[in-house]
Amino acid sequence: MSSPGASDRIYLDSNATTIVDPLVKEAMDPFHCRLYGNPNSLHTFGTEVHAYMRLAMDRLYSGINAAEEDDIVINSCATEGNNTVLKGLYFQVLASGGKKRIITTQVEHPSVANAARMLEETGVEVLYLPVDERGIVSRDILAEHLDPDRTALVSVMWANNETGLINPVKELAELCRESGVPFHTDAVQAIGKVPVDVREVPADFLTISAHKFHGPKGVGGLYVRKGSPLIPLLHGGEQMANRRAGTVNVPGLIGMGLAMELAVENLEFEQTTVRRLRDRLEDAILAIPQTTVIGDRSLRTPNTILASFEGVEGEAMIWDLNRNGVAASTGSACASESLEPNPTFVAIGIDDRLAHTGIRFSISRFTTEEEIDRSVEVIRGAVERLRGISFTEEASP
Amino acid sequence: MAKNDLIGGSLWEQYSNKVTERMNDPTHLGVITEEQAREAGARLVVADWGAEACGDAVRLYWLVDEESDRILDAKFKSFGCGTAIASSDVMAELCTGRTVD
Repeated sequence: MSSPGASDRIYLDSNATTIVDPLVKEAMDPFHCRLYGNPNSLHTFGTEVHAYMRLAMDRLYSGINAAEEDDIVINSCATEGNNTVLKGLYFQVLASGGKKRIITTQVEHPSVANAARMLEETGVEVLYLPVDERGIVSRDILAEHLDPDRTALVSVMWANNETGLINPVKELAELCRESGVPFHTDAVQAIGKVPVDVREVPADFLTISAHKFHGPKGVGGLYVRKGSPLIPLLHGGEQMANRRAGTVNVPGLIGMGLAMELAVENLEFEQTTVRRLRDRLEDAILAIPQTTVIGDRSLRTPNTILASFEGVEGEAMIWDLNRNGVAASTGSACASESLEPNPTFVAIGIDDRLAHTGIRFSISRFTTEEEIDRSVEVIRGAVERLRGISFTEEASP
Repeated sequence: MAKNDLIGGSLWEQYSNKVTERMNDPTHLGVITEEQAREAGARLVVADWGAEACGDAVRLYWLVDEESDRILDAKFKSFGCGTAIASSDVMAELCTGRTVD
């Protein structure tokens, strides 16, 4: 599949956001200047949009194998979905004085981590589970800490955005189900990369984000299993059956629906061809001396590589790559505020000295083999130049 | 909060041309060896700051005139982001010609 945005630049940052599939863009188009009614309106401008929305909902439900009686609440993004689940808890606790503890992990996305921190400030106890030496949150570690009497929610992401490492969410969800504790998973990085099936994985809440699977930015979905309590984050009109107020982003929903269908259709392509291209890139990266890749590739989503080039600081590397037309990302301190090492690095046993060397490459079904090969040349060149500047290479030229 | 704060710039948009030039083509990059010091009849001083674990480390090499204590030449090696490279380059340049004091 060739890149629709073909240019000299190469985009290897799909975990940050993805190019919108041209089919999705096309599907969204009529909903701006022709089918633009507010779905809440009584007149035909409003009502004629409903059938399309229903089709989009069907696609979303089918995409994650949700039951008709479950809810997929359409919202603005995964951050909203994650906040809704975590903060809903806060409102619940305030109102009923119930269980005051939640369990999450040390490797969640900021929209979960920071919402959890906010809960801590209001008196909720939060336990942040560590990852094990493989970089994932194991069933054992959850079992060790799960106390159903006090725990109101467990939140563990399906796949990590930085490393691509996949947590054993089926086992974790089952453990929570057996213990009577609600389980939430941020599945943002999983959709379109691995099968996501809520009948296989008994999660009570699941977050999705359209712009991570070739849908538009500004729309997401929160899956809520039938019977799970949901306290709305946004109050107002009666949209989404009072679960989330605000005029639905109709073009966004239409786009997200098709994007989901395409993502699921392309799962095999993702698991075979995209994986093969990722492995090709990874092997070439590993051929560069003093280079590590975080986490076993069999435990990762098929599109992600978190590499560490000794002696090469993350932000400097991203700068050099960008100068040469390759887009990737880093969690290095220059780019973020924290000097704290990445908890996954620590757990996997990566040396402290490599704490600021992480470079994330994340491809998609739109990445070509030619782009992979050109990127390898750029990566090699950048590593060489930067190692020439950093003195760590004096010891081993 | 204000309009300009909301979109949030990237760090990089704030780098001046001078900084960018130095990042891409540092002028004082390199090492000075004991041998070079001996040949020049001067003393070699090597100083390290920072650590890779913190994301910023620099090694400065000074060629110091034995009598006047003046820095004849300065070179650097740096582990860090672009601005670290640029500022280390400027630091090495500024050192040259001054006394060790």
